[in-house]
Amino acid sequence: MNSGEKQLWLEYQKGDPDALFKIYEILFPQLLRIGAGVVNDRDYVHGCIDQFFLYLWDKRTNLSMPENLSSYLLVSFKRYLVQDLKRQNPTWAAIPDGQESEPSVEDLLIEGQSLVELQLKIGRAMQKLSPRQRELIRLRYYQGLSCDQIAKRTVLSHRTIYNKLHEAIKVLRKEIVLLVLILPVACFFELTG
Amino acid sequence: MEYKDATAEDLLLVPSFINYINRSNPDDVNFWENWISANPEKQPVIQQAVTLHRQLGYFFVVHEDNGSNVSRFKESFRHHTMRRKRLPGHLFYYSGIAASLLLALSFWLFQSRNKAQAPAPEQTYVSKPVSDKQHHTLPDGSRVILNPNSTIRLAEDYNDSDRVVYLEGQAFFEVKKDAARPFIVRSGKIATTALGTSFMVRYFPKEEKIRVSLVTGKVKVEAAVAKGPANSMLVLSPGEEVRVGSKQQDHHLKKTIFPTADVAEWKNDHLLFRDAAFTEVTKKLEEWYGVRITLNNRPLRTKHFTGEFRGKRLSEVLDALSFSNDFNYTMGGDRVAITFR
Repeated sequence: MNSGEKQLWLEYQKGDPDALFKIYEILFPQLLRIGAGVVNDRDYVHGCIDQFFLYLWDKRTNLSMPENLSSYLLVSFKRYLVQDLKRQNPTWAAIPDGQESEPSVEDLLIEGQSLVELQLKIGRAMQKLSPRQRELIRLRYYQGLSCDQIAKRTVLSHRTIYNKLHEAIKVLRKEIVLLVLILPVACFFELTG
Repeated sequence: MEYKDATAEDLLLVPSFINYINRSNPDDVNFWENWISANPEKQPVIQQAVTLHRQLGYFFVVHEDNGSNVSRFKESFRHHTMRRKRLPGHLFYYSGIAASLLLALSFWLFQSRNKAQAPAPEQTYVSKPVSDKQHHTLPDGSRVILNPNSTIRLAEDYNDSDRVVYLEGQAFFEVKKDAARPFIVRSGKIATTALGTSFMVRYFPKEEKIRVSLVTGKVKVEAAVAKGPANSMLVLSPGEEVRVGSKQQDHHLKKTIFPTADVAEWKNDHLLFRDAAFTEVTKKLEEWYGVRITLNNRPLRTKHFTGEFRGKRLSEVLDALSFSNDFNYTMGGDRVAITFR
């Protein structure tokens, strides 16, 4: 496990709720996406995510440190969700155990394996950027605006936007490059209650 | 081969590469798939770029759309851990907060869904010098009070994905809240982004300073500068004002306090002088009525003036002033010449 994740896990096991909240914050969108792929009911999946994390909290002292935090939690959640569905719904109960809970390729997109670690690193790298650089990154890669559209919104010239983005991406890329090159081999553990 | 020496950051600035990642254009997808199979040694760079792109998008999802989910979970968490300590009194308290939040949220959703489709907007609003203030409602429901001798122009795609307004002159804005479409006033090299708010911008290209004064809410002000230092962008709170030189190289944004009552007086057409020196009076008249005033034959001592005018024309104000200070005046376009007797 990578250092940022490891730190977070240890704090969580020691009983620091903020560590749990941080993991929740980072993984929530991905868990919602995975859950919505299993059952098309976002409110239900949302409730299930919350229950899953409360369960994690209660079990914090019984768990050993996983090899890979992100994929461990993603896979465990999917299993938790399916079990809950089976308890509530007879059509789900008919499906034999094990078959439906295998993680799909999308669930574990290569960087999904280190989602928490990458997000911690990106968060740290973002701190190094100026507010303007952060804003430009947001407009370009989150809102999907073109450089021309950004120019209209900000007062910066096309050239300036290009240069500032280039600088900013370089800072961010340096943070994650090592991680991408030495991707850990996926390793799954059962969440034992 | 094109892009042979490209780094991940180079690739992320190539629009067709972004289209490839998003699968939004079949030609670009095709091009990059071929490129990648022709350059297998670039695999690590491609992977870096794709990963970085996905993680950046994800970062903002986590930090922008996710806040209410996290706070909702924190509530359940408190619930969950408190239940074990048997402190039921707090439960009602928290569920009360949650309910009122939900009520506010659904009201907001209801409001934003019922946004009326306004007819095609008039794109430009112009006010003549020495005229009355103009009141306009923009297509999105935001309101503008336009000072004399001022022009605002709406961007062609106003209210599409954002609300960009170009201003020359002075105007007061009351912005309709819409988090999805930022309201941006472009005035010379300054861009003011409103976050649901009311504020005044003054930008006459002939004047030395551009000014943004905030009455309620929050705005972000940024200046276009070639080499942007940290202070070229700042956020104003109510009662704060920023002035910046209109020259391109002058980029220092400086916050000061201003009396919000001044803006309220201006808005309500309530012109007020309290023992004001003559230069103060003419300066304020220049501001209010969008004129330039020249003084001829000026005596050594001019009288101070106290008085108020509600919704008066410039000529009426000048008539009143000429009594106490004994002068004639002529008006033409945005010029006023005052000649003392």
